[in-house]
Amino acid sequence: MSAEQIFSIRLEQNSHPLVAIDGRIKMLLLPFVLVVNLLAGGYRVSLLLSLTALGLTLLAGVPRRLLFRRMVVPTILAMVALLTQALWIHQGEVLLSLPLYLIDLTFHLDGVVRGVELALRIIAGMSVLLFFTLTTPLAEMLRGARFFWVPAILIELALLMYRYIFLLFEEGVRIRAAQRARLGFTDFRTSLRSVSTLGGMLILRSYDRAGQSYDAMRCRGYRGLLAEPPAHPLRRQDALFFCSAVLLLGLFSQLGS
Amino acid sequence: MRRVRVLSLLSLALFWASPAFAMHISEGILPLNWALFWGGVVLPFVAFGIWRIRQWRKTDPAIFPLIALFGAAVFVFSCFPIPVPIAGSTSHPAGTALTAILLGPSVSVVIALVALLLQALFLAHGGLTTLGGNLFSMGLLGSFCGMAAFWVGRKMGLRLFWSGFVAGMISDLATYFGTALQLALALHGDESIVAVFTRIYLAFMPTQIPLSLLEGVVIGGLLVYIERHRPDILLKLKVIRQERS
Repeated sequence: MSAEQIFSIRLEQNSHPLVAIDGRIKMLLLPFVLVVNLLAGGYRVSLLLSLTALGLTLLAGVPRRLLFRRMVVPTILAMVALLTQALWIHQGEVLLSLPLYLIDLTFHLDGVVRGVELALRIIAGMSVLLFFTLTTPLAEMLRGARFFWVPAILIELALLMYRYIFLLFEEGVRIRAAQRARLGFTDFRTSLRSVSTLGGMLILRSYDRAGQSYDAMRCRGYRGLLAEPPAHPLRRQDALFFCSAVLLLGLFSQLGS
Repeated sequence: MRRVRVLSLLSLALFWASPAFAMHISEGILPLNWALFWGGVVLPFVAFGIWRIRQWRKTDPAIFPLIALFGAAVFVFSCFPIPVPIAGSTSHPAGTALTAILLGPSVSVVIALVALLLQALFLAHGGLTTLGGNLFSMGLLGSFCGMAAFWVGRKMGLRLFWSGFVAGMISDLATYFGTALQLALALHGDESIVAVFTRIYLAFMPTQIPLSLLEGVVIGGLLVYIERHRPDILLKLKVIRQERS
């Protein structure tokens, strides 16, 4: 499994209008949508947000399998959250009582309602976040982050880390394959030793590569700050997307209240 | 009766599943007031970490790619599964103790911030409104507790492996302490916060105690590997002193 399969985002090949929307617009909207999701209460707004975000992500040409694979963990977490709320809130009428060996599991109406709300909030939040990440190229995200005064050092660090995660992951997979060929990872004890060695080798190679990278960056004119891509003006479709999103959010809030 | 059994099994399965994914609190779980609170708590530490990196870069310009590469290496390392015998599954090391030992806890907080952001954005682990909460438990508690444990271990004269072992273990347990605290504060419902916190923390334990021990062994082993093959790295980063190399 390669790092690209884990991250699985090849937005440079996607020319859908939703992918082409300016990153600054999406970054401006993202916190608002997430806050609306947290503050809305009830289940309607979260449900509408989930359906809209998932629909738009699929409309943008993101493979269905990739999207649903990404939603697996949040969905499991949502189910756990639902269950905990159903068990920890003891208001309203009793819906179900399960006598287990030592304890009684009792589900109250309010607990189930709050659990469903929380579960939908989690799914809505993750759907919105996935729409953003699966339809926004990294360069756009970084440009947007710079526009919104995120410290340059943080952006530079994120960019370098992102760049090297792919390289080091490939290296890690190669090291693990070599360790397996030499009878590493055969039993529990050997696995522990193999993982430690793998981590140690990654650190050693990173150290050497950091020196080489710094020299290469200096040769290319690096003097402490990475060059930023020039900011382009907002287009009509960006403004249209922003207005539509704000209107939709207002409509959802109204429906929710 | 059959329905009861199925539901009981389902509940157990869900409770069993929770520790495996709970290291990062998912988007939407924390209410806005708690999300803002945890964000406010970590902000000064992030600011201090950024300031520290800036100062470090002034004196040693080559340190910046090194920080990024170590951050990437720990991120990648944390993607490789290690077997958890009691849970019968695999898990992955958190790695914050390692960055704290190699680069210092304040720099480790910034690396954890970037790692959590990348994980939230690209792997759907964690979230943006829960970034402050996750950074508090993993970045802040994980790094500072891990580093403190390592420092105490070295002061007590423990060997590098054992100091790394204690740091990895404490860092892992502290991370889950933070996560359990945040979940209890946000989701306790009608139950008392202490009761819910205890329940969540205890629910983590069956997988977390073996995992923290494993993380300790892996970090200890990793440090010993570096010491054997390239002690100059540990000397440069002031993890060990000259006479010990």
